[in-house]
Amino acid sequence: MRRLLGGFTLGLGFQLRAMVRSADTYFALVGAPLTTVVLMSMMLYSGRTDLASYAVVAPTLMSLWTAGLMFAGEMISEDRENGRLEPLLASPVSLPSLVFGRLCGAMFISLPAFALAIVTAGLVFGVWITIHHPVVFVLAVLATSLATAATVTALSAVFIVAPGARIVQNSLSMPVFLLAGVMVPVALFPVWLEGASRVLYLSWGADLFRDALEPAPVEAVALRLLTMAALGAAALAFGSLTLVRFLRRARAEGTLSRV
Amino acid sequence: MSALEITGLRRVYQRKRGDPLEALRGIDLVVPEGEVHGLLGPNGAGKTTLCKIVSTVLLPTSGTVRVLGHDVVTDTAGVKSSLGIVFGGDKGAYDRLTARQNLTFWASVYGITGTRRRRRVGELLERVGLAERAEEVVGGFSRGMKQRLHLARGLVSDPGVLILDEPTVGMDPVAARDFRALVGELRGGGTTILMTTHDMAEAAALSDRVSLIDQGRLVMTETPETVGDLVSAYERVDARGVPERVREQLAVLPGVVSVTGTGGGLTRVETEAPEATLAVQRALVDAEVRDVSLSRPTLEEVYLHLVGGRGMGVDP
Repeated sequence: MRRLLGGFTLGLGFQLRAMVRSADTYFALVGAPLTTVVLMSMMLYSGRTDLASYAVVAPTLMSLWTAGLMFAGEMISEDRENGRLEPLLASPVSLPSLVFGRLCGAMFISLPAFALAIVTAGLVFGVWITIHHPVVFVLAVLATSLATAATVTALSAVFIVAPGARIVQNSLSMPVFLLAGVMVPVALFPVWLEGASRVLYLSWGADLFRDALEPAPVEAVALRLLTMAALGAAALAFGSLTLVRFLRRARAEGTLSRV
Repeated sequence: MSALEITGLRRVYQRKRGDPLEALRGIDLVVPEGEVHGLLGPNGAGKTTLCKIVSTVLLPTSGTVRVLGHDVVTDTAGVKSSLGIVFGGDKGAYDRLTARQNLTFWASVYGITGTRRRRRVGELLERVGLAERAEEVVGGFSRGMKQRLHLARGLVSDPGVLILDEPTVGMDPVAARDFRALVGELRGGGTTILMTTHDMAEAAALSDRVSLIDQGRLVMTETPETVGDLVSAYERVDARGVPERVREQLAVLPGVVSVTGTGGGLTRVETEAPEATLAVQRALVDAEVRDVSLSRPTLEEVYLHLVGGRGMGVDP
């Protein structure tokens, strides 16, 4: 347990320090104000100012997922290409914990994305969003970020044995955004599709985010947070096991240092 | 207890095309604690494969490897906590971080925290001569500086066994000299070192024992002094104006290893015993060849003889 926690805290701290020095980090933020402008224009054109929160939450969650996917894809590939993966594997640190910690660190990118979306909506359209339930909002940010990091940890395992999986990485975003109701509420989906979207932690996160911005009381906060935690934990467990299994396969085949 | 016990170690790589590649073919080697052991061999001989198996990043096909009593397959945690590794080349650091941040990260990877980590990182930066550049990002470092940083990384956990895989490749002469001094210090401190190198002189200078590896097999394991005796057993005779008929006669004399032309009308005859050298000289004098000189081969040339004269070529 100490080893797992050590790997997690090391990865978290390391990623935060590394991101400050890396211009690549901020690429995930570029889309946030642009997406806000597009979505706000659509909402206002159709006379639905009541849906302004969607235009702010969507870019935040999209930045979160994009950053997670980007880092999950690059992290292990870069370590392998730069001769760091083998020394890491020869060390006592738990690689799945380290990767999860680093991806949690990468999730901090969502905070400036949210701020950018709010400021863009306010400055460009004069619509200033109020966070009516700040505690729920903070919890939603935490739970969604952790679940995102856990889910992309599972995806990172794939990149060890299949560097070509970057095609999947590039094409995975839009289906996830649509299915999770990031832009359109899941409640408006056909029943069969809504069921499928509820398997995605992001659909619960998107709803909770938006509810925290609305004046109406937020229902079943604990249950929704627990659901997200459970989905995130399942993804993390699957990801860690897959990572360990794939690493063992790479050790057996001698493919760790190949790129 | 031995620091390193390798028994019947084999490693086979399955290839998508062609036959499987047998990189290690039954290696047996014991390295006692505190020994500096040089591992010499041409490219593709199996040196790096051996280092990777010892450091747990590659699984053996068969055989056993124990590091300070810990098995590399069944007790990886025990191996990892007692082993430091420095792979060759200038890759391996986080280029956007400073030297100090890099070492701090690796110290944390080995579970070293707080004041102990700060002190250890400072000591190592000082020891490898990077203290004055500690706050600079590694991306701007020269190849030699990066290799010194890798060496510091390998030492960060104060390991009982240190694996150095081609550690001085690309180092400038001053850095290489400092590195050798550092290995001398580590030997004094009781660290066991397994070092692969192409440089026989370096291996002979630093190692307590030297193993020659070729095509996945250990050719020999001896002290540098014994290897030196091998060198003295070999001699070579250089002569100018040797008729083809005489060259053919020399080639079949007992103890003659090779007869080659080296350009400019020079014939080089290599022998493996003093009697053979004498017989060659006599044959040349009888053939009225007057321009004759005698010399000893370098340590590297002896090594090339031992690995079958394939030189530094990569195995297919």
